[in-house]
Amino acid sequence: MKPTEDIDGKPVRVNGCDKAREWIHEACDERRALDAEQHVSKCDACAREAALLQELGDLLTSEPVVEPPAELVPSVMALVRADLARARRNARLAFAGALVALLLLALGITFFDVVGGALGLARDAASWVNVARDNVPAMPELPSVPAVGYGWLAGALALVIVGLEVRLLTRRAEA
Amino acid sequence: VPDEDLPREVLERAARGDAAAFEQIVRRFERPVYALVYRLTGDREGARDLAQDVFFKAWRNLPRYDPERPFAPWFLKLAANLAINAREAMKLRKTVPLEEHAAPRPEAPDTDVRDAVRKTIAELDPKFAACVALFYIDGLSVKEISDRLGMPEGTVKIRLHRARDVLREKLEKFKT
Repeated sequence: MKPTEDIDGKPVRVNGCDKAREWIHEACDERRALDAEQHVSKCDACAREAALLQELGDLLTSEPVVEPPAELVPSVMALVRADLARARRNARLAFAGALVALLLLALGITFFDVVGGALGLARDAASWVNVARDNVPAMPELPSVPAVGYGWLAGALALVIVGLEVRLLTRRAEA
Repeated sequence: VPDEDLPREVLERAARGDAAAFEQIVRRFERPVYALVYRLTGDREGARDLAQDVFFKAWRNLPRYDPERPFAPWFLKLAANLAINAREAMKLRKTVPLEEHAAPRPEAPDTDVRDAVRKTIAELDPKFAACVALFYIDGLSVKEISDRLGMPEGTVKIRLHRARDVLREKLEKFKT
């Protein structure tokens, strides 16, 4: 006759237990009763396991409903409002940064246009003087200033600054 | 959780960053979200912090919501996954104070089988604990859990199976 208990007093498993265990878990998954399987009714180990799982299921399904604490919603909303305030501050910063960059762009274009124009005028004036004083040696050619080119350079620089700023603000917002 | 109490206009406003609209969503979902995180942590204080974290991250994720799809399944799936991830992160952050290294205090034995099971669920891997909580406590089917957590039904079954084995052992130990 086969022993029914092991050295610890637990029921000994017999052939077919693995299949029975699969069946027990399947039945649990489908919320079926656990006492209908033939093997379970004959094997002490599986019957014990089925009984424990049944008890566990009953215990868990009868868990009392947990009510959330009253301060949960206000604390979540405080976080949300702080997040909105941070986002607004970042947006204001980004707007101010964009304005500064645009100002830089305008200043850059104006500056190089003015300087370029002044140099051009000086060159023209020098030519007129040379024409007037026929024998005076010509003034050396002034370096030509591509005013518009420098203006666009300043603009590109300003755009890079805006880009970097937007990226920084986006990263901050993500953090 | 039905969608009908949350009109589309409220959802769209919340997704655009309207705090008052989002508050309606928090009030609608505070119970299921808190119940889940409570099962994952096993204590009220930890659950409150975790629920707060989950809602805040959901707020940040709200602009990704497609108003053409039903909101409740989308939100509960997002909340469940955020809760699992946040619980995992909390576990990683958990450090043991120095004095406990020096003189480990013996754990008080569980006097109530219900407490022992709750504690064991909170100690499980959060992915397993979430399956147990959704299946047994919220009464969802394997299919519904698979949809909620975005994982195949087979994976849900395996997780339930393993979690059941751990909990059964705990119950068995408690009884002897």
